Amino acid sequence: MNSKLNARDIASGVFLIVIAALGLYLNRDYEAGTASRMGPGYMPMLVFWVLAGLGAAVVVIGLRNGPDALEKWAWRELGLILAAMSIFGALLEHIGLGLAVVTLVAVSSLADRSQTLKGTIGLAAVLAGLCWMIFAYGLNLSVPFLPPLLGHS
Amino acid sequence: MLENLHLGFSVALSLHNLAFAFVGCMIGTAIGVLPGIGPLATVALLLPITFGLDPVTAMIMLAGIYYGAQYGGSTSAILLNLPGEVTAVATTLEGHKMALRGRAGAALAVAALGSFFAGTVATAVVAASGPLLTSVALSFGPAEYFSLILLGLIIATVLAQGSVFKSVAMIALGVAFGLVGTDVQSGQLRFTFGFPELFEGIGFVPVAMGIFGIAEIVRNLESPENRPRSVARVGSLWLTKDEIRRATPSVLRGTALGSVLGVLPGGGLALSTFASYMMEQRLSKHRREFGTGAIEGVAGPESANNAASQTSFIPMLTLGIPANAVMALMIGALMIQGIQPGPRMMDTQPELFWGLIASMWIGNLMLLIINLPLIGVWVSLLRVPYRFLYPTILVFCAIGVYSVNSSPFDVYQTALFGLLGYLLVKLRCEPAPLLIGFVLGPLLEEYLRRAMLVSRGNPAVFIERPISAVLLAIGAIALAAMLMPTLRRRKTEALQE
Repeated sequence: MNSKLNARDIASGVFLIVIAALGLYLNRDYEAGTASRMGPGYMPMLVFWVLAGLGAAVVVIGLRNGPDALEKWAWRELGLILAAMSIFGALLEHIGLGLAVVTLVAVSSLADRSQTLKGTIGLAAVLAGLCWMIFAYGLNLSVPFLPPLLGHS
Repeated sequence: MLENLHLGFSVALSLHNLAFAFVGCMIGTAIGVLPGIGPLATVALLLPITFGLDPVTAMIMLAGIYYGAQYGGSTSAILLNLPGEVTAVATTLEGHKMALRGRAGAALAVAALGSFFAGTVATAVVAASGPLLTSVALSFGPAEYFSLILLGLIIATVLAQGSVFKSVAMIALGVAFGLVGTDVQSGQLRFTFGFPELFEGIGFVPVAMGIFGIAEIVRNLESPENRPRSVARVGSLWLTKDEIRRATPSVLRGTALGSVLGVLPGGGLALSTFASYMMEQRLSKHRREFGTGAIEGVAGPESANNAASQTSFIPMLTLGIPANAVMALMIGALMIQGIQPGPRMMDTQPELFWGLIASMWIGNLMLLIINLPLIGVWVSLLRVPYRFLYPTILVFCAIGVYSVNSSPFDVYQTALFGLLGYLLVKLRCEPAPLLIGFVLGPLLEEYLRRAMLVSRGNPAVFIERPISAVLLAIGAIALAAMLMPTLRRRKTEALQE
């Protein structure tokens, strides 16, 4: 192994090149036009080539300016937070704001190991109450607070 | 100018706007004081609550949120030794040391008073220079605009930390995200993957909130050392005569420095606080006290920071170019309100332009009035454990994103951009330039196409028109300078210091 490899930069460069390649691939469908009459594909073509070039430059530099290892990812925390958001988005219009908030709090609280069950329940109750006050009562959010099957709104 | 300021104050002093400025300052401080949430994240998280308001009130409230967040950040920097953002680092150096010596109250007071003074001066600078720059900008054609935006994008990278190539790539990535949606001129759908939600483009709120809000929460969760430990006691807020004598010149110097440097696109804010800190270190008669809690080291950078955050409005208000990522958020907010910021704004929206300027000053005054007496409230907020804070932030974040378009799709997008933000942090790619590229990308394309249409496809138009040529030359010089190894090393040193 070359000790000067900068894994972080190389990964960044590869990431940029992949995005650029994907962009250029998708951009085949859009007409580029000419410089005086640019079509919808002209700017993307420029941007993605620039991005590819920069990605390549980052990789080349990364071969020599290391060593710099990749950082570990907090997969558990990341996964739980993103899952909490996505579940909220998926459920909100079906189970109402109140339960969606409770779900969001329950899932996201798992990401912090120092949180207790009691703490989670208390927080969920407080936040659900607060959301009812602010969004259902105060701002009239378009989503019902209670599950549509139960409430009459 | 007085007439205009009169208009501005009559707008800003209406009970309605005053109330929202007040609420903005309060919420901004409350969120900004939370450890690990800097001004950028605060503004991103609170953006949706302003969308229901009319544009003038929304901008006034956002400005209040921004100042409040800045001030809240200083509070946690002084009391917890936790800088929410790069700009608060200088404050932690001396401010927290002062807190350890039992003078936290004095540090907070000097930060508030210095910021108020700096804000007053800088607001006058904005009011005076706005019309001047606007008249220059009105003579701009598409070629000039293209060059100006390009220059803005280049300079946005100058002070970003780390590799130049990476920051420029982040801008390109931002511009690429800005391409998604319907092409304005041909009506062609681009990169929408068939999602009707993307026809209007990627939402600005999901990008900002995901990259700066969600990613930040995950980062705080994974590194417990970012969490608060012990909160320093505040002590007396009154400054001693000696402290006043020592702090006054520092406030003056910091104000002057910040007012000038804040206009620079890119990292004017961070630059001004560090420059001020270094200047105080060199000029102070109490040089030996630096590092152990010198009041000059709080007064100077705090004033510089606040002056710079006012004058960073200048490029946005006059040219429609954001000087930093917070300003990019402001421009995004205006666009959502259906207003294209730029030189014409002063004529077409005088209430907005002058009302905002007047409310800058009012916001600063309000901060002074609410922050010092309410310091006990902020301190108790600092004591809320993070395990209760972050789910709360997530809840409001999720509802906020959803409510913009009543769209669950936006919530998914936010999660996705949270993932991207986290990835970028792990790869040490600075995400702020991405946001600036995202906001300016569509404008860049539009002006490029217009300029090239006028010139019949001849790219020489950008160097034949003198203003455009000068702007491009500055950009080229800035880029070349950043690539020179000696300068780069010095930049790294300056940012580390």
